[in-house]
Amino acid sequence: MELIKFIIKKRELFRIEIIKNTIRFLKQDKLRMIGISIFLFFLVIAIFAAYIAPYNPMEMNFDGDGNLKRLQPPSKDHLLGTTYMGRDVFSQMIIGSRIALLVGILSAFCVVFIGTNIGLISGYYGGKIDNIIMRIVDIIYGIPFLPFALILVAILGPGVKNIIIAIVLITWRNTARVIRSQVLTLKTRTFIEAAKVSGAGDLRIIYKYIAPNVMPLSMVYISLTMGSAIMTEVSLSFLGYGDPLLPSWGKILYSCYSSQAMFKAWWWMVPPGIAIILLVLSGFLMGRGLEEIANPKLRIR
Amino acid sequence: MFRVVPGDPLSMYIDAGLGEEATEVLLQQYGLDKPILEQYIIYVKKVLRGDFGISFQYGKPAINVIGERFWNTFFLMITSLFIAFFTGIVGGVFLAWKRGTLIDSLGTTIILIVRSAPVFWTGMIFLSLFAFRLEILPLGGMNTPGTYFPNQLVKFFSIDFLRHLILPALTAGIYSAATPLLVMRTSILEVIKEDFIELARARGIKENQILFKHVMRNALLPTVTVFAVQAGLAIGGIVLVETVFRWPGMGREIVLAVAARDYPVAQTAFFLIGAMTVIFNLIADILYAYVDPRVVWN
Amino acid sequence: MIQNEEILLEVKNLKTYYKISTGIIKAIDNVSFQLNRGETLGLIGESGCGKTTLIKTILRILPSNGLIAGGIINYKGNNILKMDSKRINKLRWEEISLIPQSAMNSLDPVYKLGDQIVETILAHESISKKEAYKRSEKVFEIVGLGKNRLKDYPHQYSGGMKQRAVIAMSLVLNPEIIIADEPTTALDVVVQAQILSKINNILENYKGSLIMATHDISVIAQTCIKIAVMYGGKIVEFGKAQRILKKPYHPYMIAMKNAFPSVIGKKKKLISISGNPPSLLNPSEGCRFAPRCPFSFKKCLSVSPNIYKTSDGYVTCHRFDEVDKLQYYSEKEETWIQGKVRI
Repeated sequence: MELIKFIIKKRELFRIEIIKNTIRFLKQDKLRMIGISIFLFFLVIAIFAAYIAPYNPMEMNFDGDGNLKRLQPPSKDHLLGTTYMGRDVFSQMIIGSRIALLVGILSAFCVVFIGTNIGLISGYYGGKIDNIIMRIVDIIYGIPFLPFALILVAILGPGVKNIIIAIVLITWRNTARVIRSQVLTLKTRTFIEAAKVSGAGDLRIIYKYIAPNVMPLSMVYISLTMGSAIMTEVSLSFLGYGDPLLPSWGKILYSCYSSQAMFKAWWWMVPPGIAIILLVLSGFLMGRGLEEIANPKLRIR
Repeated sequence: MFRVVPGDPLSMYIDAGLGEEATEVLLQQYGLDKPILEQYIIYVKKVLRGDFGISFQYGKPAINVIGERFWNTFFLMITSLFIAFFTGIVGGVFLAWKRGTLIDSLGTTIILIVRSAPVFWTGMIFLSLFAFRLEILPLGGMNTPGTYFPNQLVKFFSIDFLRHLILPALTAGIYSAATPLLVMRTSILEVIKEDFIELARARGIKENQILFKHVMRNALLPTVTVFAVQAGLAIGGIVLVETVFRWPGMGREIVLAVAARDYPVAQTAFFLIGAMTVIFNLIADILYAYVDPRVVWN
Repeated sequence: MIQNEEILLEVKNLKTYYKISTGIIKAIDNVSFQLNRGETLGLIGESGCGKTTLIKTILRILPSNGLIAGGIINYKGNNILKMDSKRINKLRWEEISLIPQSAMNSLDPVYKLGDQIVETILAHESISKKEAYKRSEKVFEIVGLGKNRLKDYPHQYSGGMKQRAVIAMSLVLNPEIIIADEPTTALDVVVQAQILSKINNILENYKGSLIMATHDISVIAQTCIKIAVMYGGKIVEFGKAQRILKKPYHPYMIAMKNAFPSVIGKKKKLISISGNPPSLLNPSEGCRFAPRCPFSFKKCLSVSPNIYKTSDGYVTCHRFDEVDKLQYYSEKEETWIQGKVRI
């Protein structure tokens, strides 16, 4: 009993240390902190969306006399005004954050998971396997992303799941290529040779020795992919292929554009854009990886 | 892939009132009665002959429909890529020059914001500002309705065309310029610290010459790479820009065709867009090999 | 100093500092020496002692956070530090050229060697490109590189070849002074020997002056007539190479002598100095070598040593008058073990 209490106490301490260290590390980079703050802000909103949104985003609102509250500018009742159909823009924005984050985070993890693993395998084994995989990657690079996503979603049917599938099917190509380059440079390092000599199996070498060294790069790509995934979802929704049931920021812009009211109703057009900018920006700031992508050394053919 | 779309494609075009026989005949005419694999093979054969099928919507050969649109997209793309390239380089040099100052921070922030904003939203903003509020530029489309041109060439160089071209090209251009600009800036700042630049100074070479001959040339290497990648992605972005500005190009056409389940047109558009992507990637590779003497041709 | 020789370069009380976020690094602090025509001067010291900074200061190619805080550099009587950019550009390479430390990175990777040499010539002389190209062929010949190599890019050269190319480049305008900054450090011993003999070869024919900065005594021994020993941003001993290598006066130089093996002569155990080079960020006022010096006493740590003139130069050490005693004890191993006998 005493022993268990002691262990539990120690574990708590241990956790606090790690948290403290992580926070200290993150604090060092101011821009990264800003990115994380923005991200957390939206995360909180998304989680508590149902409680924050004052109206049902799909509900058409009528005023006291029974008239549709069409295209009303921001007011006390409707913080961001109303749409052509009398819907509360603010509520739509709040609920819309859920889709954005859902698509963003899920896609990012799937893409980077797949991409990293393929990069690890391709880079480590080299030879025929590498050639085949890189050929596939080349072919995929030839596929124009948005048209492909558009067609795939049209075929499979508009919906969050299919949007994520479309994103994942193509976007892994970047991560795979970059991770593979990284693996190629790591492969020649002596600690790998040491591991081989000590008889470690291939899989063990890949996952115990190489993977931890490419993790930082993968992390960068998670943030960046989140940004681009959100962008893709918004784009598809704007073209009319978003999820028909769930409100997304892209869909708000789609309605705004098709109703031809965008010139008059700035409160309808501007907020979704700003929200998207902030969230995608946070992805870039957290990743701070623009330099890595641009590094010509990573462009090994 | 197209054939898997649920919803009988022809149902939209064939009057439900037609008798079964008539439906059969039409299906036969469009080749939709054969099994999918056969359809695919026939399609590939036709493509190789240049026959892309007949559009469901327009009744004309798909290739004609796309053909008209192709040049519209092409011009828009080329213009936007030019804008992107020069903005990227000049902007990058400028921000590198102003390194550490307020202008640098502001500039970088603005560029990041542009990069994070959906390209169609930027388009909408531009339209509101320049076309609606200030009324200096048209609201979209490619020509003012009612204008007549003796031939294609004149059309593309007319003022009217250019007025319509500015906003969409600018929108797509600045979006594509964002990443290359930041890369150019970083690149310049790094190259300037290199040993060979220091030696160039020691050799008594004038600062101007060092900047243009040595710094820029080396800084361009990663920038060109990134720009090429960006150009490849820009093709997808064209779809969005053409939609917002109602520019009659391939991008917009593919959206309309998919919505209308017009396979031939959608397939053709996709095929051509794909071909353009591949060609652009190829050009990018060649360009990079040309610029960097260390790259070996295999 | 030999009176009748022409003084080419005179450095007096030179101070160069670097500004960094945590303070100021006094990279060279009150450095003085002379270079006469036809002399080969060796600058010896470990990395971080200020050799490279000194070189960059002479050519005025310091980075943006570098600051020349005082002193004079007279070239043929004219103060380099007061020259305007036109004159300085003329001085660079025409009068004083440089063989840089890392030949690897000193050549622009996107231009052919021939183009880079021609560019150098044309920046100073208005001759035709053809003529400039012929000159570059000549200098390549001098260093033993084939003419057709001029059409290649730097990445097509091996390390030794790059070093030669860079040496060739330094010769092309027939400067009065060539400064070589660790020209052989990045090379393996075999290539090192080749390059050194090449350099000696050139020196014989060239009749110019050379400043050779290195941490390798053997290189200095093979090429230099005079030596300036640098430590912690200061010159601690200056004089004739022959004398200094046989009988150095400053404890640091004495230690250096002990640390290098000699191929001839009796077998000796190599003695190394313990400790690290001093941080030049807010350095102490005393002798910079004092913390590591086995002969130091309290005064050394707080008071900067005077400059004592010798027959062929100078030395800065508080215990110079006891130099014979110091020499005697330096031969013993125990002297150099930190914390042991205080002499």
